[in-house]
This record gives sequence, C-alpha cells and structure tokens, in this order.
Amino acid sequence: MSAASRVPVWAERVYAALLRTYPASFREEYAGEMRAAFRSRWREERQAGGPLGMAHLWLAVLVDTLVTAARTHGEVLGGDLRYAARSLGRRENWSFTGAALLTLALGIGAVTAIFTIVHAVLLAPLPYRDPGRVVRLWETQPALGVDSFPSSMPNFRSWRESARGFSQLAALREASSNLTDGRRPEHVTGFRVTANLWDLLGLQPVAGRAFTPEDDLPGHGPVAMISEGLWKRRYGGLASALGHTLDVNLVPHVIVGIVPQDVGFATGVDLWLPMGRDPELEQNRGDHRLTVVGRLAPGVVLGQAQGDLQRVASQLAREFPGTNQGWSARVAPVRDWIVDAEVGQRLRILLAAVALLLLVAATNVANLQIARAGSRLREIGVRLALGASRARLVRQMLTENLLLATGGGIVGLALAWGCVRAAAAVLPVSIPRRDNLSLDLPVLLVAGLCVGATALLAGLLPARMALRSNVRDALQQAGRATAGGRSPARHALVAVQLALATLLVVCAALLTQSLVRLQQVALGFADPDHLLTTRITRSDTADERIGDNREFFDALVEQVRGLPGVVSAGVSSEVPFGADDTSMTILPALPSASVPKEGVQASWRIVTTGYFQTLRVPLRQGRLFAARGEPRESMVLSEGLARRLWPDGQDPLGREVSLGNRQRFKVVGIVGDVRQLGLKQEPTPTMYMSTSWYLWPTMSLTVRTRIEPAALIPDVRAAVARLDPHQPVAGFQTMRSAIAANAAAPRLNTLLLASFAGLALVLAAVGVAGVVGHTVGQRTRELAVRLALGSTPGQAVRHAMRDALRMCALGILLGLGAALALGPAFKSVLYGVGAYDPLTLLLTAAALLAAATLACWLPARRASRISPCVTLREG
Amino acid sequence: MDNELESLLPLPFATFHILVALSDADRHGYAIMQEVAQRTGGRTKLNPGTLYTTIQRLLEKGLIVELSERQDEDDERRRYYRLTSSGKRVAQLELARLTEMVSLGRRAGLAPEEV
Repeated sequence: MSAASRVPVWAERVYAALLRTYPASFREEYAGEMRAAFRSRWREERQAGGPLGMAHLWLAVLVDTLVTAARTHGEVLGGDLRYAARSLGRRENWSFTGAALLTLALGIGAVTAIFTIVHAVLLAPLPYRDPGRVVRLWETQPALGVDSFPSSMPNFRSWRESARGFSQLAALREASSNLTDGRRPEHVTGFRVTANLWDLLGLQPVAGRAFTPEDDLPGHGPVAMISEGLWKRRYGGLASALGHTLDVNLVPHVIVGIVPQDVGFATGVDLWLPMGRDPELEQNRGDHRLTVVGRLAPGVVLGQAQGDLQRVASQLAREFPGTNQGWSARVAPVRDWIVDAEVGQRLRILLAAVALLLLVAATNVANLQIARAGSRLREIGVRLALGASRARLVRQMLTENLLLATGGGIVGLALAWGCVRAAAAVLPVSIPRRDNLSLDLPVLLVAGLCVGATALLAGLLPARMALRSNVRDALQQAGRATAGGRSPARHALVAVQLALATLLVVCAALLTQSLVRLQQVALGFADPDHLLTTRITRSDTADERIGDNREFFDALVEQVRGLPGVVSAGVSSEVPFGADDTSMTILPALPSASVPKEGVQASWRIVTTGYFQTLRVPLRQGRLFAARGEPRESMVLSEGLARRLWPDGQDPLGREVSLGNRQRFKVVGIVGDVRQLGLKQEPTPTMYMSTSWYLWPTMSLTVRTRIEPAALIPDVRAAVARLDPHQPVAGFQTMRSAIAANAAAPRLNTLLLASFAGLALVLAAVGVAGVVGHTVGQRTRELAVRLALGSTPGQAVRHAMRDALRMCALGILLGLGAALALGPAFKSVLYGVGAYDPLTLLLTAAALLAAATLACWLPARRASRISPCVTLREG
Repeated sequence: MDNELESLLPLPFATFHILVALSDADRHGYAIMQEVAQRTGGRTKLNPGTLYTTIQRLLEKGLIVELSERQDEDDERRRYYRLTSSGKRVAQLELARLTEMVSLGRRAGLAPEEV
C-alpha cells in the first residue's frame, strides 16, 4: 500500500470519535469492520477527486453516522424496554413490581406535591415587573427590639424626598369599607394607595385606568378601582361597570379601573382607593399606619439602599426628636414581607423531609432489586455465557429501573395532582400565595429529575453487583441457593434506610411535642368554645358621628345580650387571635430609673367592660370601666405591662402614664394577661382604653353563648339589621375556629411530617425484613448445621438476625447524629421543646430499635423451624 | 413462511441493494459497498453506518449469515456474508412487488417512451 493512499491519523481519529455515538454493544461487534470500510471509502475518494469529493464524503459519513446511531440507540432502548416490561410483568414478579411501583409513586408523588407548594410560595416570581428589585421598607426601634413597624405619612414623604437608593416609593394603608349601591350591603377588604403603586410594581389594570396623582387632590370627584373578582361578582364582568358609581361608606365613588385579583402581596383585596389627604395622617409624624414599598434605583443593591435609608432616618431623628428619636428604618426584599420567615422555614423542612422519604423509597427499591438480582444470577450467568457484555447488562438493568421509576413517576404525578387540588382547600390562610398552586413546568421538571435520580439510585448498586459477578460464579451460585447469603451491600442499605427514617421520626416527634405544648398554653381568657366574634364597620366615619356610633354599639350590645342563648356581649377594637394589632409606647408619667426612657412597646385596645366579662379576663386589682360616664383618661393595664412599668412592686392604681402620642391616662384597674396575637406569641403587654375615649369606625363584637356559638349567627345578624338595615356584618368567627386557624400551619406541618416519617419507617422496616428473610433463605444450610450441632432454635433465630440488627442499630445512631447536627435548622418551628430534647431522642431511638427488632425477628423466626434432617439430606 | 417474510415488505432501499449484492457471491462489507456502487453506475453509495446497521438487522432476521473471517487482498481480516434462502425469497418477493408496481404504472400510461 502506498504512503499516498494511507489514511491520515487525524481522519482515523475523527471517524473513531464518530463511532463512539453508537451503543457499546454495536461498537464491539462492528467498529473494526466499519473503520476498514471507511478507510477504503476514503482512499477511493482520495484517488477519484479533489477537496470537493472529500468534503462530500465527510458530510455523508457524518449525517449517516448520526442518523443510524440514533436509530440503533432507539432499537436497543426499545428492546430493553420490551424485555424489562416482560420481565416486570411476569406473574412471579408481580409482588416485586407492585411494591416497587407503589414505593416510588409515594416518594415521587410526595416530593412533587410539596415542591408544588414550595414553588408557588417561595420560588415562582411575583407578578411584578423585575420583582427582584421591589422591596418593603419598615420603621424600626432597635432599643425596644421593634424591627418591623409601619411608617408615618410625614416620614414616608421625607424618605421619598431624600432617599436616593430608590427609583420610586409607594404607600398603602388598610381601608376596608362597606359598599352600598342599592344592592345588598357588602363589607370588603380595601386599601388606600398612592397613585404610583401600580407603576412601581409594574401591574397593569385589567380594564380602565390606574390612579393618577390628580385623584388625590381635593376638588376631584372620588374614584375607586375594584378587583377582578368583585367586578365579576357584582357587575358580571361587563365593561359598563367602568364609570359606574359605587357607594363606599355612603360616599359615591366612580369606578375607573379593574385590578387583577393577585397583586402579589394579597389576593383577597376587593377595593382600591386613592390615598387622599387625611389631615391627621399628613401631620402626625408619630402615627405609624403606612405600608411602604419601593423599587431599587438602577444599579443600587439592597445593602446600599439600606445604608442610604438609615442615613435619612437618623437625619429625621435629629430634625424631629419628639417623634423620631430612637427610630430607624430597614429595607427587605418584598418576598420577605409576603412570606414570613417561619412559613418559609416550615416549607423548606417539609421539602427536605420528602426528599429523605424519596431517598428511603429509592433505597428500598435498590434493596428489592439486589434481592432479585440474587435470584436472577442464573439468568445473568446465562446471558454472560451467551456473550452479552457487562455494559449491556448494566444498561438493561438501568432501563428496567427507568421503566419502574417512570411508572412510579406517572402514578406519583397523579397522586400529586390530587394532593395539590386538595391542598388549595386545606392549606391554612397563613400560607401566602396558596391560590397559585399548579403543576407547571418547573414542577414537572423536578418530577422528571426525581424519576431519573431514583432510577439511577435504585439501579446502580444492583447493576454494579451484576457487573462484578463472572459467568462461572453466577451459574454456580444460582445452582446452590443455600450457600453464601451474606450481602454487605444490602446491609449497608439497611443502615442508610434506618438512619433516614430515624431523622424523620425524630423531627416528627419534636414537632408533635411542640403542637401538644402549643395547644396547652394558657390563653388568659376562659372557655373559648362558647365565643362568637364579628367585625362591624360603621359607614359614617366622620369624627362628629362618634357619639352616634357609640350609641349604636351600646344599643347593639343591649339587643344581643337579650337574645336567647347569650350570656354576655362586649365591644372592642381588636379581638385575641384577630388579624391585626395596634401598639404604642407607654411610660410612667413620673420618670423612673427602672424603666427605659423610650418606654415600653405595648398593644392597645379600646374596650367596653362587657368585653372583659365576656372573655372572662380576670380582674386582678382596682375596677373595670363603668358602663356610662367613664372619664376619657381612664385606663386598665394587663398585669404584665404593670409589672414592666413599675418593676419595684409599687401599686399602679391611680398612677398616671404617658403614651407615645403624648396623651396622659390614669390607671384604674389591672387585669390578667391575654394571648392577643397567637398561641406561639407570649401574652403581649396590653393597655385598655374605654369607648368614652375614642371609637373606631370598625369595632369587634364578642358574644359569649350558652349554646353552639355558630348557631347564633342569624340572630346576631337580625339584631344588627333591626338597629340599622343598611349595616353590613362580615367575618363571623367562633373563637374556637380562630384558635384552630392559628395552629393550622403547625398542625398541618406536623401531620405531614408525621405521615412522611411513618411511611419512611414502614419502608425501612419492610426493607429490613426483606434482608433478614433473604438471609435466612440463603443460609438455611448453615443454620441447619448449627441446629444439628446443638444450637437451640432461639440461638438460630438470634444468629439469623444478628447482622441485620447490628446494621439497624448503626443506622439509628447515624440518624440521631444527623438529627443533632440539623437541630439548629428546626429550632425556629419548635415550641416549648428543644431541638436536642434528650427524652425525645432517647424514646425515639428506643421505639425505632423495637420496630427494627420486630422487623428482623418476624422473618428470622423461620430459622427456628428449619429441620436439620430434611435440609441436610436434601442439600 | 411467505406471510412472515412479506411482513418485511416494502424493503428499505439499502436492504434491497445489499440482498442483491449478495445474490451471486459471498462478500464482505466493503465489497458490498463497491458492488452496489458498480451495479448502480455510481449513483448509490452506501455509507458504513447504513451498511452495518442494516447488516446487523439482516443477521437478526436470518436473511443473511456471517461466514468465518477471511483475509482479503488488502491483507485485512474481514467478515464475509452470505444470502440465506429466506433472504433470497424476500428479495424475490420485493422484486415481484416492484414489478407489479411497474406494470401498474405502464397500464396507466405513465411509462416513459424508452422503458
């Protein structure tokens, strides 16, 4: 052969690289022939033509290789899939196939369902333009430990003028209102907002226009925007609703625009009004009522905006020491406001828990596969003897697992779909963005990832074992099922499973304890099962109407008290476990060395005497408010607040206090502490003012009943209508359901985690039992010899379960270690129990060890029934 | 038997060419490529990928068999292939099918003058 016709090394290499695209089995068979054929073609083209012919050859070879390689892969995969489907569908494999499918479906389904929630709440972008640049601004008072306080209007305006880290700032405040326009009066949740809010967020009205700065000016007719939901509910979604007049608290407003239902931070807001100019709000720098959001200026990062805002805040503190001394401000991503830290942490813990569950499931399938591989050794041996390559066998086994995992994934997705549909109804209201759950692309990708990962996890170890075995061993072992039987890989998997299950069970036990403690806390008021509350918003909010409103509420209490089944009734500005809190600083009027000069941050409530009697808040000292003629400056304190104001034990009765707004009050009574905000929050120090001081347009009515409280709703509604037929009543709630709602998130969390832990434990136990059962089966002969040599049946059983039980104990220890290491991560969701609670850890370990022992003992009992004579004669 | 073989029709063009190339002699892969090119006047050139994936399929279906390796004139060891009786029968069935197509076209007056 002449040198000129020799194929250059580079061309050989390129063609060899192309050949790698074929399946290994095909390559082993034909690569040599194909290289020879290629060389011949190359020489032919070389002799026949110039560079054009060569280019044509390369192009043809490239296309030909890629097309035929893809087809060959498809054929191999198709063949493997058919083989796997036949093998899995065989009658003797039904129990294996069923168990593996169910296990994987539960694992993948659980991960998919929880990830759907995590995605909707924590990951999916908010419906804003460039949502990462939208931030929430808070006022803070570091000395009092207040880190998230609303802003005052003058402070908001000063920030807007002086802070350079933001391209825009917008403010909103709650303005829930009564709607009347000839139809049934309706109470809706509403907000007053600055005109630039929509532009700042990048939200477009569904129809009509957004507010303009002119809408805030006096002289312009009042306008309103309504939500898409209200638009459809009240106006059938007709365009003619725009321009329609709607009475908001008896004042006619023209509807100018329709707002999308999901505004990111809320989905239940139906009414949007311009901020307007409320003189009290405009002038009082100490009146903190505004929610402020901002958009970071181009190129500015959060830290810079934070520094800039602090600079402005300290400047304001110097300029207005009376209202701003001690106050500062902070900036946080808007999602941190929408999703509070605890909700996020709970979801992350749940996601980690389902990931562990999936791992246990995959390990279980791996374990089942190894057991099967043991009994499939003959099949493997025959195939190796017939010339199948090891790579081919591994591929075959991985394909089988892929088929199983895909089947499990499909069933899992169906399960997840059902769960997500149910979740929309079951998820507690405290979880934001729960209306946005959907199995969308990222969720499907994660489910796909789970399928791939479990196929690999469950398939690699059995496949590796097949790879290691050689023909002779395989055929020999298959012939003598009684020999051997120790499989370190399976025992290691047992340890892994037990460790994962232990971690989950410890976590579930700690959460269960937290939940129990949470439900045992002292509320500070008695018998919540017979309390009904409702909120009533008076439409006429003018200050000169306060007297009328006070008369209305007094008359209402009288009416309700006369209803059959009612014990007592009272009125207050907020109720315990309600949605909102109002707080202010308070100081003894006589300065005291033992109270910080900034005072004490305390909740404040406007109440009638009937409120204390209805909740049965105990009077500790002094008196409650008089039904009529109570002096405006009278105040009742919670005992916790009294202790903080006069820590030296002086008698608080008759003493004067001064509030953050400079008003002075005189203490007339001391009552017990009440948990105002939630089961988890310690009782807040609280001051109570009487209705003779002031009355809000929205007040809560609390009724104590002799009967089931919900049964009284129609009667209370009728009582209101008798006094004022145009007065809407909204938000009836029994105290029992309010408390249940408060514990709903921890309860659901605990329930889910306990189910995952239980499932993991069952899977692990099944895995352990499978290994021990297999061991007994494989070592029947050895055990028979032991029995023949004088072992008691009990000793034989112990011997059969010894190895597996050791691995279980190791796994439990590893799990406890992991739980200790991860303790800090769940600290924030625990209540009344530490992450390292020794009793919980000890009891969990003992229970798991008992379960593991049982799982080992049940199949090991067979060892005691072995008949040495029969076994050894047959063997 | 014929029914089973008929289910393979119509044959992909590479398959038909390979069967035809093996009809008069045992050949190795490259020789098949050359034979096909020669019989078609250089219009059809099989590439190695198409050739060997088709050979694999023909072997699996028993239409050809592999002979023990022999040395060819290039001093390279090469595998030779031989048409089986099934392979010959399939090629005949395909030919009959094509003939019928041709006469169908003729009867419809679609045949060009020189055919």
